[in-house]
Amino acid sequence: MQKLYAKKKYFIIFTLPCLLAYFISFFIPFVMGLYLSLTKFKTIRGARFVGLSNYKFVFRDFKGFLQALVFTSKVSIVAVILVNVIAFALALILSKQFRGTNLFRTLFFMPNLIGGIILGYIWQLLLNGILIRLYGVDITYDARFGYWGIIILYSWQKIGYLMIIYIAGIQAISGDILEASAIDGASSWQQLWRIIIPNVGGSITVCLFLSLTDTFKMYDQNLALTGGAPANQTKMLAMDIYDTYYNRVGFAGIGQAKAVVFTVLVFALGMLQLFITRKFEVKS
Amino acid sequence: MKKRMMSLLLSATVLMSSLAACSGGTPSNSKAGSEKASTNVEVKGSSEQKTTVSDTGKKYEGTIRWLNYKPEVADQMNEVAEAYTKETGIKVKIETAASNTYEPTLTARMDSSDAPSIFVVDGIKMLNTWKENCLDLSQTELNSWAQNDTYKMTGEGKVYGISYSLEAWGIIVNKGITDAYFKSPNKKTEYKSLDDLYKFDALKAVVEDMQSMKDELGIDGVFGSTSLKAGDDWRYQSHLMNQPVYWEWGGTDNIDLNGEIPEFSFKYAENYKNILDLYLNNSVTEKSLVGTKTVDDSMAEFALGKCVMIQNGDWAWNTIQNTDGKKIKDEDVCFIPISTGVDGEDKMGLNIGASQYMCVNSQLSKEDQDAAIAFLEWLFSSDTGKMLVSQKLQFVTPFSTMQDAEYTNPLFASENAIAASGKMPYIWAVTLIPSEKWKEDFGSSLLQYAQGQKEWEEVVKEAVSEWASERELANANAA
Repeated sequence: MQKLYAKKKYFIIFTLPCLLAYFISFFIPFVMGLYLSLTKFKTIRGARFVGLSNYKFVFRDFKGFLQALVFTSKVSIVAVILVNVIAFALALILSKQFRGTNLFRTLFFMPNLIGGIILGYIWQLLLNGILIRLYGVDITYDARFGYWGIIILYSWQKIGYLMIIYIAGIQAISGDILEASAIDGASSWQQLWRIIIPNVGGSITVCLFLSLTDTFKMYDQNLALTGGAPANQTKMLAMDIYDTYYNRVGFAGIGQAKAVVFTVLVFALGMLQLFITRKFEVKS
Repeated sequence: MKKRMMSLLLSATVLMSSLAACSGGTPSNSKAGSEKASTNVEVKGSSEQKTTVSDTGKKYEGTIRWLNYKPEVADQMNEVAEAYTKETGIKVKIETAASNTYEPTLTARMDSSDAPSIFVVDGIKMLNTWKENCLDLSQTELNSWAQNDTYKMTGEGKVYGISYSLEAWGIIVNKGITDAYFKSPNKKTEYKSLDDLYKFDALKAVVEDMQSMKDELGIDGVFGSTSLKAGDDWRYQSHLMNQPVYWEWGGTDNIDLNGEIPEFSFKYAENYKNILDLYLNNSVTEKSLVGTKTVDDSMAEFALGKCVMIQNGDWAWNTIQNTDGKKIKDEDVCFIPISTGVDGEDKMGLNIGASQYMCVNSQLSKEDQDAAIAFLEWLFSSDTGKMLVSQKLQFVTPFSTMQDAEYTNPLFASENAIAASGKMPYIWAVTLIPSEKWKEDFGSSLLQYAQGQKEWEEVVKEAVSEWASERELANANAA
């Protein structure tokens, strides 16, 4: 009993800093943000309550928020599928025993360590180089260039990271099951679909969640690669929110409302995805 | 028990120090950071502070913060700050907002605990947003030195801001190359000097002729790249708009820079297109690639002698001068006005105006305000300050105290020569563009036009309709 009591004490001591930090840097700003989204303000001290009018504007902002929402969704759908399929394929290959797997894992993981802004500018140079060669134009010429540019950039950056998670999942599968199935005459295709994929359900959940929320929240890659050009057609949600908040006089409240809608949206999507993929996980 | 106390203490210190680190702000903010940390970590900071208190009895102990609008003089501003600290012991901190992000930065800084003491507004719209933060400067000496009321932001009998920099822009020319052209036996125009180029027809004829002789002249193109990359398009979406709005609104006498945003129908759209096409078609860079070019790219082309002309203002001298491998000679740098094919434009000179006005933050304590004003008065009247303003910052100011200052910027001499020849300046009417949003969208429209992705009629139509909606918002914001 004495021991348990002591344990509880330490629990509080060691989690308190973290909880406090969470409270100060997440919870309070979030609540303030909720309030500010219902006001018109410039500096926080001078906020004036205006009810839901900011939200009304947001849902009628066809050329801003809603266009960004459509574009972000398009990027997200393609990028999430592409990144996960390729990462899983690489993980399958690199979880086999052969020379150099560690080297390849490291190499594939490395792009993830470079910051989004730098990656954005590097890929802008690369893609512009190709586009100028091929068509004599740059990435700002057509929204499709920017769209695929963002997807390529994001895939290149994140595949290695997700690959590591998938490798961990695959390696956790007991060799006994695979061996048994092989003895029973399962082909490697059957092994993949009947054993490996169901057993890495946890990794799939995590990876889908990470890539889905990541693509929705993408900002720096977007900013550096296209900056929204041409004519805001490649502006993603986060950038639209930033621009509304900071670059438009008198629009801080609307920017805040957009941010709240955005948070709810990402939260709901994330939860929905977790709920669905959890169902398919094999409970061992 | 002892152990428990220890761990409690430990976790508390970890928390405190991490919080202190957070509030320190930007990485460059190390001084402010240590000031704050000193309240938590007692040993070092307090002894430092005691010494400053003891050597002078009543000295200002805070920090004067200037939120700088001009990234091109960021280093020079820091020299000013150092010089003041060296002379008076008072700390001055310059923070510079990156190009095109002044108002976002200001918004963020105003809400923080170390809000700027001196900040800048760039026109009536911005003043309307920040009026309650602007101290009335009418009783200061600084105000009495400013000779002309057109260089002040005024309203309700108060002086909210005073300009610290009168700027001019037009087309900057490399006279060395144009002289070579005028002397060339192969030229096909009858024009003999830059003085003949005050009308659009003449400018166009000469530019196109020079473009066809680019190998003989040793250039890649007549104009430097039309930098239409987002964020670098201000020379066109805002500055070049001065010509059409000036003519449409009826010139200096009919434009009220402190008034409401006027209506705009883009009556002189064809004239704007004239000059834009001239830039695009006779350039160093292919039309389709202007979206990759920055202002710095074009200024480098000019400094390296790859082009002859470039639209920019006298502030660009710093960039030209500091370009690695600069080829252009200082005495060859001069201005000609922008012409667009409007009747009467040959009597006009450069675009001249007070673009930015210094304001003192009224939300700070009296002590902070006085320190800021004292600093500004030092800057524009003491010998050190005047030297720094004229030689380093290169600001042309409206202050009587600065009249004997000497400048090295050759563009200032060119401005004076054009004014002395009796040409009327265009006033800086683009401060009445309703919003940043309008400028950005117009800029991306221009880029699409240059790339051949948008028809000119469409560009004009969108500019006009967006002006109407943005104007409504801006005027409502002012009321």
